[in-house]
Amino acid sequence: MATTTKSTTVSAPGKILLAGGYLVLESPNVGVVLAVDKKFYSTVVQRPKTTTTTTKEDEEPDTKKPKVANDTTSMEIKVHSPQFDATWYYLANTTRGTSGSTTTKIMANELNPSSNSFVEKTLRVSMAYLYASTATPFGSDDNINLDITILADNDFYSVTPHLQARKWDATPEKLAQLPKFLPCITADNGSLQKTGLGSSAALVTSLVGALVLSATNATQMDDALRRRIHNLAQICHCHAQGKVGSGFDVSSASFGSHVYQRFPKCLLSDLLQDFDKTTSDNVMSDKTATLLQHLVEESPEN
Amino acid sequence: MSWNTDLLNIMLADVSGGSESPSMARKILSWKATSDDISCWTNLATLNQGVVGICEDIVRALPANATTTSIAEMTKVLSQYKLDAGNGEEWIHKSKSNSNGNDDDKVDEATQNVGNHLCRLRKTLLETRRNLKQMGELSSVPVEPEEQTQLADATMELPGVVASLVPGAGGYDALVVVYVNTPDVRDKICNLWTNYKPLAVCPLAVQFAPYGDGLQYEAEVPEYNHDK
Repeated sequence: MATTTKSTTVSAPGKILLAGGYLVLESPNVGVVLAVDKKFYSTVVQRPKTTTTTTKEDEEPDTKKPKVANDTTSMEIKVHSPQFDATWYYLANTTRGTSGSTTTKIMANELNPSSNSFVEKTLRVSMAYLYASTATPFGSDDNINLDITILADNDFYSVTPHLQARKWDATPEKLAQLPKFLPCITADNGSLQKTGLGSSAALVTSLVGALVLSATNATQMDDALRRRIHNLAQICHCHAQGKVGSGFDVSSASFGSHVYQRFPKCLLSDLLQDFDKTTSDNVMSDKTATLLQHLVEESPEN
Repeated sequence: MSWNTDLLNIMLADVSGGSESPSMARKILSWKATSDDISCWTNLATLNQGVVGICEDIVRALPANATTTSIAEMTKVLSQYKLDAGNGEEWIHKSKSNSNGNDDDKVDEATQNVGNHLCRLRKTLLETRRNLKQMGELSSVPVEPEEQTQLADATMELPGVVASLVPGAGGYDALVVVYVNTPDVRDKICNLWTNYKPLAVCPLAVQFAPYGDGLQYEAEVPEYNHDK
């Protein structure tokens, strides 16, 4: 039984596409993508259930009584974004069938004040993958909840409002003096001014990375893990965007600066269609989960 | 091929505006599908491949035994000149704007070679800018709006600047500059942008991460602490 909390943080950088705008949408055109020193950080904490203080669901399954068949266990996932002043709660219900198959269902708490498609869909696809590849990615006793914190370095969003609030000029010294992880302030018209560093890709990639490392007990990154996290993050990002994008932003968030050539579209469209078909009840079929596992563990670029 | 070098850096300007790249991409692709003349698209495919080759040439032109110190000496020289070979192939380092123009202004062979490749990079990126701007005009998409053109051109006049352009899908979001990595060049760019009258431009702290490998395991949990 888990008795202590375990914390895993993974970072993924933003990017600048120096050459290849629009053309990278079509293979075999190349793009030059540069990774920058500004990053997203995702921290996954595995917290034993006894210490949790955030249970919002009325009925928790009784984990004390082990069931033999159709055993459903429940894990609470809390995602905190201090910069957006937001916390989202999810429940991951895992059902182990008699045949040994496992399905995981992610449900957003009805009381969440807002929703974040990138967070929710990344959780959904990542958990489906983790449970398809390992029967018990977060320990065999299901006694764990996940607390996730997501932070972004400042330059992903305009820092102009923060400079103005301090009556500072935009000099290198003043920019360096701005506190880290400033709140994301929306403009008067309600929009959030992005700078094009690829915030959603860095978010998704760091979140997938932290979930995979946390589930595999890894405490360092290597090329094989990077490849697997990249493949899974591409799928999550496409699912969240509702289309197969060019993919260079997830690629640079995973591998750093490089010459990018896009992956074939056809590989992903079947999977994304399967995802969309199952959106209503959030349960992924065994067939879909197997295809997902295959695409993550085989390189889509081969 | 790895581009891990301290020779070059980037700087990003937060330009007021903000554009929707998905709809911009849709318009460009529909223009491409329905136009008889898509020469700017095909030019760009060649030019982008050229940028890749030149980046590799730059790294290859660095001496095999280059150290942080020797690269710093090289950047100190390169940062003083406009990196423009005009119509020629050779970088003319004697065109230093404020120099006495005497023949003592010699640079070593490696620096001259790197200078030549930086001029080639500048020329090729300028060509990509022209073709991207034209493609935007043909498809009614503000890929490189006139305000951005003027800011990029002004930035490219500075000594030590290789090229300035709208990154990615373009629009009003941001402007990037590739420059010879010295604090002096960065200060000059910053100064130009902060005092730029036609447009509100805010320099950002973001830099190139030459030795970053993408995903990293972080042993330390980042701390956040801000007053609301």
